[in-house]
Amino acid sequence: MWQIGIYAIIVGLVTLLLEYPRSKRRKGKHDHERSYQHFATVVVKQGGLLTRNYFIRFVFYLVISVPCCFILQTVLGAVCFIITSIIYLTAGVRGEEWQPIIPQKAEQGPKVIAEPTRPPPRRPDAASLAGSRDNIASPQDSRV
Amino acid sequence: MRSFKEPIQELFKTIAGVSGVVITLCLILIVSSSTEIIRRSYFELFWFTHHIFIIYLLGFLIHGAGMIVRRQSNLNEHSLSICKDKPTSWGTGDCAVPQFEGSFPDGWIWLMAPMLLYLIERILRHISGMQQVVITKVVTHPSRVFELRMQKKGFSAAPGQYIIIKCPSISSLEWHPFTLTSAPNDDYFSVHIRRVGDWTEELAKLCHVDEGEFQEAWKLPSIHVDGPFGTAAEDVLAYDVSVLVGCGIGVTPFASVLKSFWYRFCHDQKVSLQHVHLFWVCPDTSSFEWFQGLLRDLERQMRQRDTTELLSVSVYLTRGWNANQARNIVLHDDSSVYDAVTGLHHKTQYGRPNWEAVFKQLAETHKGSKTGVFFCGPKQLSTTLHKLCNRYSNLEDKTKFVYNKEHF
Repeated sequence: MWQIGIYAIIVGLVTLLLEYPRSKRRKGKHDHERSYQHFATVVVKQGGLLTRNYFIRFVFYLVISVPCCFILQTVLGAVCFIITSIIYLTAGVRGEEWQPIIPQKAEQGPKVIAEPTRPPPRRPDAASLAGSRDNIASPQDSRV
Repeated sequence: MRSFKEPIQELFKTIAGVSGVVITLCLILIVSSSTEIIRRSYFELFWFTHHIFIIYLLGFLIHGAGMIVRRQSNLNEHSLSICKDKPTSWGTGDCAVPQFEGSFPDGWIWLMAPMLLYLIERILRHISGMQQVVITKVVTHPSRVFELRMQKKGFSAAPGQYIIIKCPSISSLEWHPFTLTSAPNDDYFSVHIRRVGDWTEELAKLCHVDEGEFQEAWKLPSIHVDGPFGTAAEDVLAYDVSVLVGCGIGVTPFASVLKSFWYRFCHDQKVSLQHVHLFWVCPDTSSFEWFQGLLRDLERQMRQRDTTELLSVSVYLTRGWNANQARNIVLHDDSSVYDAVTGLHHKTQYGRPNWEAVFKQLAETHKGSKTGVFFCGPKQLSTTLHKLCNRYSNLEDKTKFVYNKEHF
């Protein structure tokens, strides 16, 4: 029954592709991406409802695990898949979904730093020594 | 397996098989729920899944009970050193045909001592947690910080330690850690709690923090306390010179250390510590007004006793200043001995400290002494400080910087 072994390896690779990109969190500011998950995110996003919905994943993992239950070498893997499908069932019941994490483009800051419009704070007595009558120094003074 | 049978069917007929599958599954669950993401974001999941280790240990104990692993039972008739080289002569002459029997399991022997120790520790922790704790005072501080002063029979802590607190009215299973901010010589022990999450908000409500009037003692919630647990700040008083560096909330253990140092100094106990340099780096001092108050008190008392060289405080505000603060600073700058922002005699500085320059200055001022550097804060700065400590330690003039790190 070594064919089941080959099957298990292939299914493992498919699972890796499906599971590698972490979903966006429903609540919470920060997304925790895995490193280099962008390629897998793009691929998994193409699946649309099939990959987004967790009930579909629940059924998928349950079905996937059936051939692995028959030989000793893959039985633990089969149990892991069954646990995964139960977790997805619970998540699906609670209304969770897979949402892709799309990296935000960094905001373009100003290329040129604008000239300051207000002068730096100066000591009141220094201003009076310079001879200006009010507290706010004129813009020309800031170039001193 | 002499005859052809399905291994998987045989598996479930043996104790070793079933227990093996069960404990491997337990391990898989424990390991996969212990990743850093889950520990940081879903701590309860990690904590409760981790208790599956009990099933793991039980399975491990009984795993060898089927005695499937066999050993030779007639070694006295079959001496290994003579017989191993002449297998064709077994059964005739010196060497009898080897007989095998199941070997008695001995895995449990390795587990017994550690399990016993762990069990004792859990029981002690439980008993210690059940001791009665009385809240003697609740103090409200600005920026959503409140202080709980408590007493517990037989409680004693060293400066810089922390305790964990449970409030059964909020959750009977959650224990939350807080650094102790009181010194050992106070007749109470206190923690400063910032209202930042569900549990701390609940606790603030139960302690009637917002109500601002005197409360009867029976109105306060019951609290369980476990600890204190030790950290590196205990060694501060053992050096000639101590440099304390706290980033943001990392400055909290140093409150207890400073109080304890001052008390011991005032009561003329033998303190080898002669100078304390405190570097406090934070974005702004909001939610640390209580610590500022403590520093002001210490400064005032030291000024009264004329021992101002004992403590030097450098506050670095990394978020800079806004227009209002700038105006305030300029108006008060040279005309007052008090710093406009913190109210201390020591001037506040802005931006991040230049650690190279700081260490150079320290190495020069305290040439030949053993300086302990204590840090509590983010990892990058820790590496920087450690490197600087090593660089400025000098064998010739015996200047030594010893680095101690504390990590929450």
